Amino acid sequence: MAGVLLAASAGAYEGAGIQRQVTDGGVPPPPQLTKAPELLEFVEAAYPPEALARGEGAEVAFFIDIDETGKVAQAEVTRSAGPEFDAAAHEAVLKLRFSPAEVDGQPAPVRIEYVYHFVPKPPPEPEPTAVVEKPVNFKGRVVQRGTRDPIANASVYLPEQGLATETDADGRFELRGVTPGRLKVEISEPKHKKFYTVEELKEGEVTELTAYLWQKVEGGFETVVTGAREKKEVARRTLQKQELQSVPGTFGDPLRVLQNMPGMARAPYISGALLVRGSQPQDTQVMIDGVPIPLLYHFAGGPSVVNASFIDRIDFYPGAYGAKYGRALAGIVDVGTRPPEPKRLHGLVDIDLLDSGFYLEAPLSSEKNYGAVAVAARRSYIDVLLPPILEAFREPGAASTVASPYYWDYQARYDLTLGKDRLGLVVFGSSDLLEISQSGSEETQPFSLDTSQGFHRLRMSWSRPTDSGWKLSLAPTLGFTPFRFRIGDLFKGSITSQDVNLRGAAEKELWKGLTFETGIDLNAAFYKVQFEFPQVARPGEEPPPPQVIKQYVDVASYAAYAETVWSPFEQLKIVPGIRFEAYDLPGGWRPSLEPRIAARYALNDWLTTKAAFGVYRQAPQPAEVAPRFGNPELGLLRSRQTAGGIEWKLTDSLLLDLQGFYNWRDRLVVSSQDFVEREGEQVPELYDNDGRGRAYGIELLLKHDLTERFYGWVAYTLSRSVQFDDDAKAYVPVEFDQSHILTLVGSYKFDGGWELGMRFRLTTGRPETPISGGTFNSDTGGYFPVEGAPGSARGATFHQLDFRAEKLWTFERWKLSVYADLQNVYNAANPEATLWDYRYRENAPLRGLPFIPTFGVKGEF
Amino acid sequence: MPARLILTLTALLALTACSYDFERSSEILDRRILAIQVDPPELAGGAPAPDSVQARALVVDPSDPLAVTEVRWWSCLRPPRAADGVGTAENTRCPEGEGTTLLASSSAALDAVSLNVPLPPELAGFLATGSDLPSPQIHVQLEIDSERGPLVSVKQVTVTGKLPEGQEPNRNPALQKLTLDGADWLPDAPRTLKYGECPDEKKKEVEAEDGSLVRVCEHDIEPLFDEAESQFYEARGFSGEKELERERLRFAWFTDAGSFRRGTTLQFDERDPSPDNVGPKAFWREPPTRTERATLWVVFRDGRGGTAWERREVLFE
Repeated sequence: MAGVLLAASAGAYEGAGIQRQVTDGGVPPPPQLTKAPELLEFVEAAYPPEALARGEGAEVAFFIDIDETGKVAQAEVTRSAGPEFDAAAHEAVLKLRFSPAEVDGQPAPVRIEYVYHFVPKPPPEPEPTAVVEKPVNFKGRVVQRGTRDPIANASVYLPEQGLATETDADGRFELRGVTPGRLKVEISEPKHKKFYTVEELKEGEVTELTAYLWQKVEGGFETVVTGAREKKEVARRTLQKQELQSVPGTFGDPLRVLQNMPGMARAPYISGALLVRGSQPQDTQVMIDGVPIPLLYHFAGGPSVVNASFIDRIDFYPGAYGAKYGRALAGIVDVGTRPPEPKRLHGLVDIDLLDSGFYLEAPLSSEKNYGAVAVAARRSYIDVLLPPILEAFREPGAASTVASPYYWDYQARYDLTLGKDRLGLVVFGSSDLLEISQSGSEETQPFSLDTSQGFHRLRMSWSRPTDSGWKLSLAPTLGFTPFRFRIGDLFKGSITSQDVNLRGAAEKELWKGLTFETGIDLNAAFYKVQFEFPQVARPGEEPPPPQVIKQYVDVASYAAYAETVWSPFEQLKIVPGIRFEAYDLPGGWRPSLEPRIAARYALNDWLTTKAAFGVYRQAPQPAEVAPRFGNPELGLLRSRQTAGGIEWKLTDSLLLDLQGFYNWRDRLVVSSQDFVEREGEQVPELYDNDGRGRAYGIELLLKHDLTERFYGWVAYTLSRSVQFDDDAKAYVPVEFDQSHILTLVGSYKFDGGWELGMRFRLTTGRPETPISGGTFNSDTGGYFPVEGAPGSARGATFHQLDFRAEKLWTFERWKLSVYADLQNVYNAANPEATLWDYRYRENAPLRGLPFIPTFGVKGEF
Repeated sequence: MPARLILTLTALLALTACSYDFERSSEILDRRILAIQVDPPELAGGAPAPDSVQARALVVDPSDPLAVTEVRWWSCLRPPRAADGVGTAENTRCPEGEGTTLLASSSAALDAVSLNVPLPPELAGFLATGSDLPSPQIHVQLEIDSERGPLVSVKQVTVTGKLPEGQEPNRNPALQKLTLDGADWLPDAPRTLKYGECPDEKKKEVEAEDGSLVRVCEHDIEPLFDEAESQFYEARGFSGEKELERERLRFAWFTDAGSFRRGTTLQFDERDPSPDNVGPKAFWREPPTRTERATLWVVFRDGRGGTAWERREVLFE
């Protein structure tokens, strides 16, 4: 009989009292299992006599909860082998002793899956003395087919000779005294298909075997056993790597998956804009490992700027978030990069028609602790493909166009643990370049346009738990963000910024039930704006030199925060926090004090209530506050957010999260028609802080955790987001207001390497303003619409079904997958807007994306 | 990964390939107001203000060019607005009620729609001070009856309290002449053309009413003007501050028979790098079936309120 400890579990165990280790300067990293529980004391179960007589074997699988001391707290049968086997195994399992598991270096309770094997005893073993004295002559390694991951605790059995052993943590095994000749070998492990082989063993030689075992669920979803991630917020929605890459209709783009969460409005066409609770896209801050990034997608609507392979998880806070974060009126998206594999080389190559990328991870040394590194990069080659396509479609006599758009991005990460110190280095960046050159024709003059934009970031991190119980962390980041353009030979411009970010945190459990954390969060961008354009020449005069505008705009904010997690008794958790932020804007300092509080109360094991309130501020956009182009006197935008709801654990893997929210927004930046006096002159004010609005609604998320075969969720949002319209003297729906947003997502792994997924979306149309005709403006020669009440009509309801199918082939050392993603399978028209003729008499719907099938291929080793 | 880009390109193609069969602005199918001219187009302080400005409208109706119809004129004084300016799509109709004055309501022939617009007394006071404070603007609104309801058009009379030194008040632009296929084309002398007779390289395909494609002659029309007449002025420019600008004429072309390759053209500007910066010449295509005559109009604007127009006729043999 044997017990098998599995390295995978159905999900993160939410234990109580485990604190996260802050490792990256105030941004909560995912807790990591730094030491797996090891079986110290095995207890043999009583073999059911009748089954033993029949030579009948069995496997009983459990979820067992191990406490901080290594003791089994409880065991729950997840795969039965009949009442007799179950009862015998259950009794034995409760007596097992393990070494305590450690999460981030601290003993912690964990849940593991454990399989108790009932194996009929083989024929009597030969005399022990004879075996012991004999040398090892049959050894090998058992690994998973495709990934080459070692399989621990696999049973290696030679039925003809009655010899058996188990693999170690590295998947290795050895057998002594095996009789030479042809050997039948059986290898079994609960998560993998049974492996049979026949080997030839020669006298006096050592035979080595590498066995590649098939997973029972080929390419099944994998989640790592992690310790508890303490739930402090009212809403933190975490999506794991597997969920981020295979949601239909998102083309494997992790950031687009977020658009399927509750509270997210649907963005039109292929826009990946994150529209959180009816707010503007710029009101949500997106970060990579806690570092804000200025761009989300290549060429605005293309692939996201981070290679999916490099992403480990995404945390999404739709509102009422804690004091660690700031500078966002709406939500926070924190993308966590994937820690490099510390033990072996692993890689992935993604080649397709338009871009290619790779991902590699490896330890720097297999012998010594030099740390591990991961590198990813991607480049498109649309610049090669597009010119011949444009030429093929060029009409005779029309100008010929050479367009060379291409993008690239890169990410690298290095992790090193030296004693208690954890060091890290992350480098990432992105670049988009577009060069268009058009020859002249009968109707056009030659034209050229060059643009480039990108960003580059270098982030270092250090963390260490001290002997006095503090957990310290520091993470400075340096960055550079360039944007350049040239139109023809006369118009040139650039906006570049040097960026600095620093996060630091210190956390300690002051006494049982009270944890205190404080930190700093500094962020600065030093912009240099430069434009060059021709001036008007007077007749008979030499053309004047081009006008050159140089401007420096510094936008910086310095924040300090403190947060306490107080749990006066086990069921209640109160998290008060405060954030003080000083914004250094072109018009001067803007201080901001932002109190926040959240509370959670567990009514019982399956029902938790929660509520939160907070004040949030955000700086105006750089262009709005820049001298000359904007209004440097602008103040901070503000939102006051409340949220409350329940979490209802329907089953071990099914959670219902229901919450309501009400957000007040004021001091929003809106365009101004007023004049103000500056330096003795009446000048247009351009912008002011007179905007105000509110958003409220209910969000429901019914989510099935990621298991070996399935993940999925139902997200529904009922909401309203309005802003005061000064002309209409009334609150009107904002551009992204959608009353009903329903999203269903599911993906299932079938046998044979097949995965099928679907996504269905149903949303209310966006607000529209009715038009009853047009008025001719004789100054412009165009018409302007005669409009009704702003936002008083709605566009057509949007509904779309997407399918995704993927087939995986697993070879011994690598895997190959092919997928088809079918967007809008029933080709719904889904009008995105209304087009009008020049005088607003006739109109037609502007249809949405049609049925689009796409395909991809990926290889992984 | 590729899919996203394929999606991007497909979407762009889908969007650009959208072809809605809307009526073209340059083709006159029913009664329309094509322009309103006020003279002078700008009132500047520091000089005696006139009592009124002269407004006239270009109103066309292919079915009855000399029809008599009901015409109503209003005016209103709008407070200064920082983002106001020619080229915006902002609703500049006079508000209903207080502040809007009905100037005239009468019958008029379409070719004689005009009015002497009196200036509000408070404006005269403002102009007299020569203040450099932001100025209120006069809006003139014209309403004309048509079969499909009233046609409404608005026109601003620019008011500037104090002009920069050396800058003259704006004037309405003027053409020296128009040419058709290189020859002068005079206002009161319709040009006679032989329908469909032109070299092969001048023939272009147009769509007939039944959807079939017909090859017709294309004629070039060139507006000629004195570039030295283009005025210089100061305006808030790309730098965010006041810059020296020069007027650039914009031409809007209309016809009641045939079609234009482009409905609008622009005076060439060597500073403009855009592909469309090829000069003001227009290309008019004969109708797909022969008609007796065709009327063409060109309305030209200086981009800051100055407006004028020309009318020409073609007779087919």
